[in-house]
Amino acid sequence: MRSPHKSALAVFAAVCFLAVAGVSQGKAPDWLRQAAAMPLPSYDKDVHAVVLHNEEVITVDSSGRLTTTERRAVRITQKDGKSDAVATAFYLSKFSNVKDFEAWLIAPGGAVTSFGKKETIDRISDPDDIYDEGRVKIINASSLADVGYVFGYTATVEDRPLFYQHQFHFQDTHPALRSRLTLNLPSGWRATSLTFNRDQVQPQISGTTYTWELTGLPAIKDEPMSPSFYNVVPRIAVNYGPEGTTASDKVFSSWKDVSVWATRLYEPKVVINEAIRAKTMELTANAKTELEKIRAIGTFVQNLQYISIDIGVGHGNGLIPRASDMVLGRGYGDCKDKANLMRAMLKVLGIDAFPVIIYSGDPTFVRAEWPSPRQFNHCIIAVKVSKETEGPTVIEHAGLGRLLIFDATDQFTPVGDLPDYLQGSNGLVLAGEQGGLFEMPVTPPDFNAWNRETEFSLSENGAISGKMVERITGQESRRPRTMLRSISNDDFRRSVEYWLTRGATAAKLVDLKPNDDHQNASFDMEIEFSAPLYGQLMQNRLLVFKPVVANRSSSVYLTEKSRENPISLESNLFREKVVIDLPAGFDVDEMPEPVKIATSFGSYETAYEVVDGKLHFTRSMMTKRTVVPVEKYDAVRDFFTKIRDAEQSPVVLIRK
Amino acid sequence: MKSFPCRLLLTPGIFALVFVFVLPAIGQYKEWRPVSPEDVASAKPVVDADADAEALFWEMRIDDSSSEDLDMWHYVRVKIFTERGREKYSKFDIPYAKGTKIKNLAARVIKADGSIVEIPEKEIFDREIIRTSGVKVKAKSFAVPNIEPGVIVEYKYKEAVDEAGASGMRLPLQRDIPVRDLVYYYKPYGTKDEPQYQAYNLNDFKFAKDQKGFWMAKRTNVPAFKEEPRMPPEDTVRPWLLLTSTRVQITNISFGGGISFVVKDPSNTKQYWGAFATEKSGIVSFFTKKDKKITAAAEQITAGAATQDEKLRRLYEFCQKEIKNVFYDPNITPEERAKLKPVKSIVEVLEKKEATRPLYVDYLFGALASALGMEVRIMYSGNKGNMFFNPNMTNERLLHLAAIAVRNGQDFGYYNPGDPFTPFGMLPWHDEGSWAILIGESNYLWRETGARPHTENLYKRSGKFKLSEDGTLEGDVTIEMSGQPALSFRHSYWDETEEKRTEAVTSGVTSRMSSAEVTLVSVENLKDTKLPIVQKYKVKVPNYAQKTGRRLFVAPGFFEHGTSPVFSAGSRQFDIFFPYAWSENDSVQIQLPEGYSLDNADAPAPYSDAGKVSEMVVDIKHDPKNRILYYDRKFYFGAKENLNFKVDNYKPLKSIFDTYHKMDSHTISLKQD
Repeated sequence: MRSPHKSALAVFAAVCFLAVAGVSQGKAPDWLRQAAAMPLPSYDKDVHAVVLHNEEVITVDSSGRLTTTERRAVRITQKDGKSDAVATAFYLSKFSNVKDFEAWLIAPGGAVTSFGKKETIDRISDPDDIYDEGRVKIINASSLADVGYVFGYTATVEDRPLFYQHQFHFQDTHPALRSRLTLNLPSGWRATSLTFNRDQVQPQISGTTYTWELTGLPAIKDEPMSPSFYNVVPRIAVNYGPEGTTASDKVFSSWKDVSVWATRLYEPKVVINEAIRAKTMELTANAKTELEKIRAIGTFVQNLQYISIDIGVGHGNGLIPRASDMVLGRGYGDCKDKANLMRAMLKVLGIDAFPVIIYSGDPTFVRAEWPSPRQFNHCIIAVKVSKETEGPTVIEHAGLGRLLIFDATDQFTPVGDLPDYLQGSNGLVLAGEQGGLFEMPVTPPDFNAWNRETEFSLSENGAISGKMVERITGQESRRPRTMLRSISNDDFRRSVEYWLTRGATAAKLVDLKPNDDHQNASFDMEIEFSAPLYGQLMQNRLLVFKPVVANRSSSVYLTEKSRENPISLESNLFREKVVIDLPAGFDVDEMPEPVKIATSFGSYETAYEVVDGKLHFTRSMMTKRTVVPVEKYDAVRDFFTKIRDAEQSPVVLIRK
Repeated sequence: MKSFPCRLLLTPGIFALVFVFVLPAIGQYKEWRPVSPEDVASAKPVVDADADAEALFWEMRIDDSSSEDLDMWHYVRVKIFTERGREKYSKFDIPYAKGTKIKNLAARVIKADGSIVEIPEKEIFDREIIRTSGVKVKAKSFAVPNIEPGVIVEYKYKEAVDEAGASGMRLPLQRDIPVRDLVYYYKPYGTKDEPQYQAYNLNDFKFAKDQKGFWMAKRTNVPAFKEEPRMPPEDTVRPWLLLTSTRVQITNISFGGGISFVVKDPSNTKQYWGAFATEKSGIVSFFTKKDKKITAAAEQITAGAATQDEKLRRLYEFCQKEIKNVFYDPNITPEERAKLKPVKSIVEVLEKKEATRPLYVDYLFGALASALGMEVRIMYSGNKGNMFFNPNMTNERLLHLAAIAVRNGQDFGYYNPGDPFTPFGMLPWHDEGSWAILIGESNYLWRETGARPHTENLYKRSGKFKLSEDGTLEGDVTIEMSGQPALSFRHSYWDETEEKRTEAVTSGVTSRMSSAEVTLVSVENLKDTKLPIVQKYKVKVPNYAQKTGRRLFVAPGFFEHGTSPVFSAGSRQFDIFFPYAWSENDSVQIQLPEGYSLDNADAPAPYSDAGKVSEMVVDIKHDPKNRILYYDRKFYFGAKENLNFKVDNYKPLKSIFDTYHKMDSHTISLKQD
């Protein structure tokens, strides 16, 4: 048959449909039927699903081969919970094996629909990677599920772990009635565990079988400015292995052990060839100081394309960088490739540097109590510097001396600064016996500053025209820089237009000059604007206007009366000076009261003054990087509410 | 195998001939083409000065001459100008499905100094993206080495699709990247004549005869496509090409011999739609077939009704209320729905009082009306949400079965009881103001459906509030929605939980005023289409009014307070489109705090555009005795079916909406006594 051409995407869509098209009636296993029969406590309306049973059973044979069976049952309590009727099983295509993958959906009346091989979708786990052996099998029953249904699945995966170390989260954000990890070890093996985010969970031990279990776990609320999920969810870290093992490549008892092991993977990959030498000399030809040299190389490496190609992950290749000469030759690489290339180039200049493995995305994730490479997903670099190089990202390391910490992957954060999602995090410097875990620097609020100077003239009919100059530094500059480099100039302009018109009706962007001084972690913007409908003339007598023309680019909204999680604040500073040329025929009748708020987590201040027919208005806001306990929520909410109110306050002019 | 028209058997001689003339045409895809020094050296884009990257050429050669397969050669050369361009073109994925082969994929980078880096074959990965029972999607993927601003990236490959043809293929005539030369070569099946195609949103696009049986069409200096808010649907503004062909479709095979068929020739408008109507007329015959039970039911339902309109209303209500429309039964799963069998006659629907497809409800309505002697047709309409259709577009995919049309004098009424939320005589906005073909048993007509006036798409909003000395506003709100806003709400929330509907109402307030506390939310009349949707809630907004030393400033326009301007961009590329006309009637009462009196209560002057397409009138009154401020606002937009505006009118249109926004921000001053 001749058929119309179909795009691959159309086939992709068809695949998603097919996944549930041929399901059959079946019988649920005992564990699922028992879970489905469990009575539910009452929950808030925002609980969409309740986990009835969450279990991982890991069986290790004496050769170290591992069989993991996951069983999970969830009851859908709200329509939004339908999306939880999805089963997943991750595996590595050339290394692990999904032995069994089945799911069942139990309707409120007891009818069971079963899902198996025919309904399973098998897809790549990370579509962004050029090549990745990570794959995931999925059974998606969400279109058949509804409120009152119970969805359960079991997945059994065989593989050979790189490490005898395992992490287990007792829940996701849903409440969980029962959650447990069971570890069956061969004779002569033993396990130890650590608990994070709650009191120690002691295992029940029967022979060489260990079981950690929690019941009645409440939901984890999704609240703005909360600490990360990993800092809230109860989780355990488990080490296991043959009794008497103290340190090996599979299990680690100290961070030094991890450093020694990982250093062996990295060191041979610093390969210096003529191309690296030549490129290094070319890049640093005009660099005079140590910092300028590091900056020249760091900027070059950052701007190489980030490309991840993961082959042989099951054999540990995902942890090993590619040789630096190959990375330079191809002109692309992943985080460890880039860090390693930078080390090679610095080595040409006689500057030592060390890889630092770290967790990207949550500075609180890595726990010092559990020496394990399993805690990391990213690699940055620590450059050994002399006293001539100073800055907020330079730290004094007990064994290695002065280290400049730098992320060679994040192209929006230059040498001298560090992405905020890494600041304060524990990272492991790979320096053999001298290596170990240490805390990344945290840059001070005035390093991450947003300074604005606004000058505009106000006409008798309320029209304004003027200029705004923004000078943004540190991690605050990362946001506009990312935007400028990610969207077209036209779209950048439109975003500024939108921001201006939010504050001033019919505002017109007359001119916009963004200037990204990337090397100095600074971003400037000159904005010329006008707004014909800004102030409101009342009865041809009063002229009312707000001195704050444009909002701060980020606003905090804490509107709930109460909350459950602590409040996580970032380190930053905003300052604005506004000078308004007032219309000649008017006097100031009323100005807002100045505001001054000082708390342990931040401060805010405004001031108004009229000098020579000009109104001078200043405001400044500072927050510290801190986690405020939930008991102080009212104080934090009050802080931001007062700021919002102060920034809405108008000035009243009266005709002379 | 291709079935129509018949093809010749290839003899060895013919095969040789085909081989000889095809080879030079595709030969140019085997070798890299020379790159000019100017292109290597160029540092600035030609098409768009702001471009991050620009395709120097984007070429596709489609060979549909084989009876079995479809072969397509792609050759793209892109110049990178900025870091953004580097990011965007650093890796490539070419997805393909079962039955398609990607062959001879090659890619290379030409650096600014003229040196060339070829991508080795081993670094082109063949990945299985997704697999499930019998279906597999793979992708050829590669990373571009040494990519940086200034380089040229080029790639080429052959896409061979088994047992497929080009007819029905849709090809972009504007890409997401600026293109200097956008070129299509096309060798159609079974003819040496100019291929059949339709070029949308372009006037001067034409295929010209090229070498070796191919036809060539080219666009030069094509800017990138960029979406804009409130633009017409993409298919109406973005140029695209549809490859077509004359098709024969069998409409009936008789047992006694004889085949009925229609010939659909897209190049002949009248013939094409005639064939379409002939094909679909069978549906009308299916449900208007005389049946005593239908007639008896129609007479019983309409007993006592005097006018046609009254009769149709009764039939409509019967079909919507008495026939179980299974599609909208929340207790039936999609799997169960898919298993429901089609009916053999429309009497089945009447007798079972159950329709397994929403269309059967429409057909039953048509059958009942026909039984009463009314002229009934089926209406296929364009969908304004997808494309502004007109009958010159001989593409039936642009139409959908939208309603039953019933003649009323020279005019027709349109009815869609199969949608339980569409009231009598109403069409959803995307079917309003659209061309529609009305197909009867023996002929067809074209009509343009009308659009409801703004007065019938009404938001009626009222609020009774109390303002405290500290600026807090607190009170009760009622919002009534009728017409298109109500239909849209019903379509969005009919199968949602009460929590979801509450969330929708709440977020409508908190998205404007982040500190608002919204409680006691209710939504009424969701299923009663004769009544407006009614939303009620209590609201408390701390610091709604701003306080200075002696004054309180309050914006009485509660329902528009905190909204964003409709337009913010200083300029735009595309026309402006509003789905439907609408009105807003707002009534607000604010009890003022004691100790304060009005400093001013002047209202903004009424405003209307010159053509009276829109208008806003605000009236503010004060009852000093009871300290109540009355705020009434009447607004409409889209009068006289003015819903589409040429881009040349953007600035005046923006200015109009800016004025309304300013009026809505109007503030009243209260002074401490």
